[in-house]
Amino acid sequence: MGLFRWSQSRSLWMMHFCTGCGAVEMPPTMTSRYDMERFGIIPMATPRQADILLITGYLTVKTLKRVVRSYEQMADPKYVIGFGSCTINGGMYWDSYNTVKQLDLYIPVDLYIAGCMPRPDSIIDAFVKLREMIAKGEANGWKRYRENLEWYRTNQAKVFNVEKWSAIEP
Amino acid sequence: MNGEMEILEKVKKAFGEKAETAPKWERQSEIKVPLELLHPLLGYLRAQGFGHLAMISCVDWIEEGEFELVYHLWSYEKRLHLLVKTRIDRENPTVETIIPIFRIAETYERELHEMFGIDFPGNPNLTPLFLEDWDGSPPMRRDFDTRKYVEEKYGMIDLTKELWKREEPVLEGENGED
Amino acid sequence: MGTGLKNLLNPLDAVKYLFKKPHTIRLPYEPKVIANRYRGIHVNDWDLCVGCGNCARICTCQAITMVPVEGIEPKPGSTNLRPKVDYGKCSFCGQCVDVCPTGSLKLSKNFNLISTNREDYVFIPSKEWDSGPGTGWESDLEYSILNFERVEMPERPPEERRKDFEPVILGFSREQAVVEGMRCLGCALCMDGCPTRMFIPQYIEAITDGDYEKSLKIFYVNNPLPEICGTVCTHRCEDACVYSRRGQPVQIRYLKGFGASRIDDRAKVLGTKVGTKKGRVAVIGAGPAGFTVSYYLRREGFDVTIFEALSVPGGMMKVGIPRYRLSQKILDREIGFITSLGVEIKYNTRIGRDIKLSQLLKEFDAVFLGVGFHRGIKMGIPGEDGEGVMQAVDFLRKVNLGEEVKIGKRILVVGGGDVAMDATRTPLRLGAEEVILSYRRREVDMPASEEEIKEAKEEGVVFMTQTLPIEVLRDANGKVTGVKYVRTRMEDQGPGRRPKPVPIMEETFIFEVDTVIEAIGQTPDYSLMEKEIREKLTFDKSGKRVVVDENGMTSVEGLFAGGDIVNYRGDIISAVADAVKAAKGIARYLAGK
Repeated sequence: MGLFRWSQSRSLWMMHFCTGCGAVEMPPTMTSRYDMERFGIIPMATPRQADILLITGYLTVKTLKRVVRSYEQMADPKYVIGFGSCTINGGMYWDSYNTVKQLDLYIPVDLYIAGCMPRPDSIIDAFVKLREMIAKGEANGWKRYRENLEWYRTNQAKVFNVEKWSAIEP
Repeated sequence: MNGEMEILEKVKKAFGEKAETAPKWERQSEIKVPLELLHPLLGYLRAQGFGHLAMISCVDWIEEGEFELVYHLWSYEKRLHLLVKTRIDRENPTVETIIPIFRIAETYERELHEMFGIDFPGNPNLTPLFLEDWDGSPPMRRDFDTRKYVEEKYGMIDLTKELWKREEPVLEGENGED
Repeated sequence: MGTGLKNLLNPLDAVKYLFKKPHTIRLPYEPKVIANRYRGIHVNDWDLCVGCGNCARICTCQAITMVPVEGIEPKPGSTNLRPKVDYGKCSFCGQCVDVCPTGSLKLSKNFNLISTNREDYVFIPSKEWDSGPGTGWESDLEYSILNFERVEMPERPPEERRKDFEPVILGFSREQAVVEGMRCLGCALCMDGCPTRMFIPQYIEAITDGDYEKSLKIFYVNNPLPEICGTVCTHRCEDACVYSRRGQPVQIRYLKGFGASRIDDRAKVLGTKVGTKKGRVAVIGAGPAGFTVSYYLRREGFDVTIFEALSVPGGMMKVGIPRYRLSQKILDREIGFITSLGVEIKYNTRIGRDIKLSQLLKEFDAVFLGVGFHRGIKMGIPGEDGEGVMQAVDFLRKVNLGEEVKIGKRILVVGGGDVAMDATRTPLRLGAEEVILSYRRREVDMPASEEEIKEAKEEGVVFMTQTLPIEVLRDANGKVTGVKYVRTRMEDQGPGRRPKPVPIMEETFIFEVDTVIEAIGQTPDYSLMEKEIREKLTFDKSGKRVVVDENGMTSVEGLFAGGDIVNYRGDIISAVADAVKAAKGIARYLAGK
């Protein structure tokens, strides 16, 4: 089991949901200056093939719907990294009428990186930490989502302004 | 400067005293008209070469109970920016669509419909544009309480509630006596 | 042909990169060098921070709030509040650092705040994340967006003003007042410095806006002598001002004076309406405490009678403070408004001589005692008694009442307080040629306010510090010819304690003067009350001051007290503060009677 987890942690494919301003920090992280590929992390454009969902900044209600749908399409085990202040408590959009403030009300977040925006150094550090967490079996956001699906669905339905909401049957 | 005066004079001649014209600064002038003259004026200006409707903006004059619509027109030949302004009732904001004159107005009117709740009869596509699943009052209206809405919908952690407030004096006549 | 071989060997080109330093940063093993001025996590020096809350007020993300921190004692000019930052909102713009008046807050170079728990992102910054001095985003006076320099108050030149009793300060112009008022950050730390807790940020805002009527209303909430205080107050508020940490405080005193001087007719703004409460109150002493207590009691509707020993109103404000510091016009305006409400003043009525205190206690429902310290303390040296030596309070009283005072050409003033400064500058205006000030400590130890010392020096007063008079010399006719004195040295009394002057007795010197004015302190005169009442009163350790409870009442029922005879600070604003407290106490006492 340990070897299994270790190998999992060495090969992470990342879907970066780059709708927020944090997206600019991704190119230096991917390219030779910081070179995240040496940690086995490769950008991936499709949710079904990805392990990490990277939320780079604020989410509007409209994008949140797409994020939840993408997240549910990802195969287990899957991890979410909240990127920047916006995912923690709204950031500079703290009083905006159309962005969600606390990401972990809607999808389980494994790791937060503070910053506006975080530097590539922080992102690499977060990846290293996530790898450790996966190897130790601490990154259990996907299990939480499964166990508390009703709770997450209720929160999602509240911002989508419907009685009941499901990503699978829209 | 000449080009501006020329078109403003032409407008004056064609629409009379009801159209208030004023040059603002270099290459920008404004024309204020009552609502009933809006469509003829926009049609007239289009024929005069103002073919580009850059945007339609709206100002909420809440104290006066009015919305002010501002149509931004640009002429590539004259290199002039015209602001056509008209005021409408805030309680029942309705303006006939200008799609027949400017096709592009469809999107702009759709946005104003969403953000200010202004109705544009004749526009076939007044569906939500940016706001999906919106449940509040139009958010760009000045009486929309953003913070209250955010708190109710997203559960904002408002640290400033703890913020220290300084002592305020109770002045005579302010405490209901006097 | 050749190209084929070349293509084959081309990949070997890469060998030349083998020993080159790689472009990739070897994170996380080898951190990247961060720019020195990077804006990361907050660092706050709790010792420097005064908890003014400017960082919280400026923050556009509202990420900062002020929370009380245990273990920090609040004191005037410093609260126990410290900023708490929510990194779920902070956008690291650094505005909070730019507006930090003390320079305690900074953004460090450290930024790596990674956590699984959202609650880890809200904390009270201390030195935990410090990246060392000179790094990160620090507050710097050179490009601070705050204005640390005050607008200087215009004054008359010393040569001109030492000839007459016209006011020294000329007062702010509207523009100067606005510039000075705009400096105020509205943090309200000054309120802790003010004995009566005037609403300083609010009235400065009103004055800056030009709304003088509102500012006047705010003054009168807890100070009915705003223009007097706006001219001669000891301005403890300015010592508490957050600007005083790194620059010059906002001139709250003169702003108040400016605001109050804009409106001539107080009654028009504040009205002359009085309440409906019934009761008779006697006030002894028409000084700052007496007038304050009269104003607030009269506003409630009580009948107030003031008993004054002198023939003029004002007490020490009139007979202690010379007219070049506080003009008669200001006194008339402030006192006139209070008397216009229907406060009765009985002049030339000394308690104990013309009327007995016990009689007042019987006739009136409550009595307020605000007699002040009008008797000077003697030095107790040989030759002190007789003509040519006088007490500063007596001297100033006579001058202020327009009586003739005989002084010589060369004058020695003993003491280092505000009274001593007044006693040096007044003889100059009466035509004295030379005035010498003798003080037994150093100039930095002088209790007099800085601007008084500065102005006295400008006017030509000779400061002889660390000197102690030991004998007044007189000739055969008893005329003063000089004062024998010794020098002193300062003896250190350990940290936090005032150094003690020790006379060096080996060598004596002589001041050749013909008049000596003693200004080494004042004491109250309790001979006005009967022995039975005096025995019932509780005095403090010094035996000079009366102890009062939280209502301003002494241990004698129905007898309230305030002013110099109660507080050790001995200034107008403290007298006003005592009197505000006593006025509330009297109203409560009479309601319960």
